[in-house]
Amino acid sequence: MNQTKSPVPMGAVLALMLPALLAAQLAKPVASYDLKASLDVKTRIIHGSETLVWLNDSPDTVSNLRFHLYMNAFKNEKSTFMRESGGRLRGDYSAKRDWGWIDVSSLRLDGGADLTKSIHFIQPDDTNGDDQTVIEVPLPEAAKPGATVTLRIGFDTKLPEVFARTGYHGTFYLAGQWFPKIGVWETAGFRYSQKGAWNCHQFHAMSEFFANFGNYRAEITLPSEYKIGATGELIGKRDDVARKTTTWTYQQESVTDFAWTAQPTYLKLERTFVAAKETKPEDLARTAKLFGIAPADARLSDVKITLMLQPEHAEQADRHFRAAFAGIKGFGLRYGHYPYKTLTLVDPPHGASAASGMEYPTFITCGTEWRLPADVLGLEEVTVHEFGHQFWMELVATNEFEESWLDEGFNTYSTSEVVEENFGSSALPFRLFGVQMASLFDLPRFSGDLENRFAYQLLPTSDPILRSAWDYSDTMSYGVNSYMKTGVFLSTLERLMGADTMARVMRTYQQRYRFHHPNSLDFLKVVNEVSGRDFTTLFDQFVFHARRLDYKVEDVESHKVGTWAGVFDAGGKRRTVTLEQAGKSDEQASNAKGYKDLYETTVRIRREGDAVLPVEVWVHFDDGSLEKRQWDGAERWARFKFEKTAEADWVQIDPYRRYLLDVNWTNDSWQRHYPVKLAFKWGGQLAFWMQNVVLCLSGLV
Amino acid sequence: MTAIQAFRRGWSAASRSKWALLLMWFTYALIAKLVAVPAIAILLDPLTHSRVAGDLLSHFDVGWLGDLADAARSATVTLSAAGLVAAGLTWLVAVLFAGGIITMLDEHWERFSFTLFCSGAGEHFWRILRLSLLGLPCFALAWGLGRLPSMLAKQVYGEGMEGWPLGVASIIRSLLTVLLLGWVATALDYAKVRLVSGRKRGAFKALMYSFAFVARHLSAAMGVWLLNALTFALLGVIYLKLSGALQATTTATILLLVVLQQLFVLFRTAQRIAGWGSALEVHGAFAEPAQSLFEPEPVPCVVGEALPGVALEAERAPEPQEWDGYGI
Ligand SMILES: [Zn+2]
Repeated sequence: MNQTKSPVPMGAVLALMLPALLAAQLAKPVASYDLKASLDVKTRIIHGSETLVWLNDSPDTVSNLRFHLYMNAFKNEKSTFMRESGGRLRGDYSAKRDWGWIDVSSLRLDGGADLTKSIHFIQPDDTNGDDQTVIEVPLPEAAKPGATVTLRIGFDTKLPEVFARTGYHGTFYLAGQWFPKIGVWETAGFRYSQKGAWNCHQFHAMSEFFANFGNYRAEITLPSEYKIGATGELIGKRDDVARKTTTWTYQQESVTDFAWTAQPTYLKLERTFVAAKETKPEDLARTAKLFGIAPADARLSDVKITLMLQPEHAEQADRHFRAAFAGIKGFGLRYGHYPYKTLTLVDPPHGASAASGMEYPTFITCGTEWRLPADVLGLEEVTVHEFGHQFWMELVATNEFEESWLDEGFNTYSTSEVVEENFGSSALPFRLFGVQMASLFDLPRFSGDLENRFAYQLLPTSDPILRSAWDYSDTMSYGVNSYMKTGVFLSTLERLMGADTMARVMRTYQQRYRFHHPNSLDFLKVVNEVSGRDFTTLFDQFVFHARRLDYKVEDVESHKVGTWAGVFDAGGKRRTVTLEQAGKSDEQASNAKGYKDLYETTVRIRREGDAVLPVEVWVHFDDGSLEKRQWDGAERWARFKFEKTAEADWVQIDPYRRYLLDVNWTNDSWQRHYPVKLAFKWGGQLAFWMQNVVLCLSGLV
Repeated sequence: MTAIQAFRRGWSAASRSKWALLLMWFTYALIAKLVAVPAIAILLDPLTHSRVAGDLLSHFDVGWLGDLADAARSATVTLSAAGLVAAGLTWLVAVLFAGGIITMLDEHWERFSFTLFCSGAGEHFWRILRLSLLGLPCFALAWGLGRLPSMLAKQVYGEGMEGWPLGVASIIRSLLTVLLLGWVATALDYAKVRLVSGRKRGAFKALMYSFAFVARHLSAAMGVWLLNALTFALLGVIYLKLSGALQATTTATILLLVVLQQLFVLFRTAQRIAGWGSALEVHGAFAEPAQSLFEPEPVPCVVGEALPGVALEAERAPEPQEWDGYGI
């Protein structure tokens, strides 16, 4: 065991810390790894070892350590992951063909005690004693505040057939979550913590990951014919001619994880995002003005992009690079520059689609298919989205287990903006005889915003947005709430506070919590602070609770008001107006030049859902006048009355369509005139397609 | 006879059958309305007094479909029931039209005779109905065979690292499926012609004979089908391009769109008649005179100056004592 209060001149530690000492640190390294891995392609086993330097960055004394052994999720059907997913996740269910596991063969303190025998499995989240994805190791001597613990760990990782994110398929390897990874010690006041404790969840079907920042160095030994891509920068390559192997060394500071891929037939292509070339001075000026910073501070930095492409997708290389460029520029200008020097894009092969669409630090997996039509933007959407995770997962390293909306949902919102800005909307994939036909059939195009709202409308109230990933009512609810509903929520927020203010909110949040681990309340704080308004009620109803928002125009009625009949007291006198006299008086009046009938209009608005939010109501009249009213939505309904010389011809709730969260816009408005033309056009259209169906059917006779 | 000749003669027969064409178009349009009317009522109900209707007329906002989620769920039962009724009616009507129109084409009528049409439809109703039911497993088989390339590719390459073999297989699969379905549909048309023109009763035998006939005279029979398929594709593309460019929002453009749509439907309807006309021509040119022990000589019919009485006489002629296939 090695616990000190100052840097120790241990070889391994020094090697690990040296780059950090030389360069300006982006993040305080809490968990740094020196990894060595050798892939045996026959057995699909990675023989590995790691030196872990863990800093007790808390005022607590820590008496044990906890580690994730994620790969044991794929060990058997009894793991929590397999039980929750039913062996089926991300569209694939092949894990049962070949299992995956990780064995820790040794765990000892650097120059000290062997702790291997005291390793034991624990299940902090459930009562599944068969789950082996978390281990605990008591320390012979507790780690004092500020002390570092250096551990040497030996392990073997058997990769599964790609099932969920990680594994192999044929000669393709994607090694993610492949080494023993220490949990996060949360001291009191850190995120939601009341007292110091480990945050080290089991691997669940829906959850992703959470880790401290650190410096990573990895030596990966592969058969020489394999091409490799990995997190960080390549700093060394060593061939062993006798063994026909090559050892590749990568290094990256200030990240939370390390992943790599290998395949002999990859097309390995490189391009550099040259910031000075890709961003125009007016881009920087606009960004600087919007955020009130100097143009120099809006500048982006150069990024070397490596694309590991399947040969059969060779013609899509440009699309991958363009998407990555769009991401680096779009996210960089919005939230601050991408601070790492490299980005690796991985295109998993056919049959390994379960590995596509995944994010690791400076390393993302994309997703496409053979001859993907140019107008179908699946490739661009996935690439921009996974790149976006460098901001909403990596740089702002939230806890994906417990608050998935802070990474997936934020990223859904950001991705929609960047994709729309750079590529527009996507066509539906509709191919006949291999030819894309969407534009010939004039099929509608889809943007991220639209897709988000569609999904949200299907499941508007299944769960609050905020939940632990495994605690949503089902997989679908996890997906809708973590991704799309959050997208709709943030777009609503944007419409309520204005696009510029929202941009400042998002940038402030990103900048303030870069290389930190904020939670949902931190975001709410930034929202209220930057906007200068209180959005707590909105958060409460949609993030912390699952309320339904639906306003509706229930009734609109205009009727003529004539001369009143009856007995009236005025000026000490009593006057009687008979119904006959009233009618006559109306008739005389209507003959007079310039006379206009007086109408009383009643508009009733109803709150159908249980979400209570203030709303604007516009009532438009025949004479062109417009009346605007506000309603706080507190009661179930509100009535507005108007007396005018014109009838109401339309009513509109939320005229600027700020509430994207309103589940039904159709009932938000009323108009007097029936849409005859629409009925005629659609009637004709529907009849036409039905006639075609009938003709097809008659062709079977 | 070449495919082009048969194609031309088929279309000239269709052009002579204007009333039959109109009757067919009208009947199918009515059946289509069985589904279209309730569907449009359900779709438009939430829009009756919504301003969204105006937006939708000028520009179809696909986002509106999301607002429809609740209405669509409750409409499923109604629309499914309407769909089933429409499908059943289509089937019956199609059988009647096939019998009636092929009889008329066979008799080379210049003017539409409702009596002849009805007598043909009635006389051949059961045998064509039987034939159409026999056609169903054939279509299913064609569909299944069409899937073979994909299944094969999946077996061989499914676990592989490349997607292109599956992509190519799926293109071959769609081409093959269309071709096989076309082949079955063509054979069914020839079987109908044989039942009507040859006065046969055995639907199964007629179908088997027709499959063999189409195989023997592949270039003529499938050539006509191919020409019709290409014409359909060409006019389909033209219609889609025109309707896409129209952006119908005014009364006049909406009317124009409806006219365009009905012209296309008329073309498709005429194509059915032309198909039968071509089949009659090819069948007449190549079919061997029936010499079977079980098959009597066809009843002779008058060509050109035909009178309604001829058909009635033919009806009164003794029913051929034919071995009735396998009792189907
Ligand atoms: Zn994501």
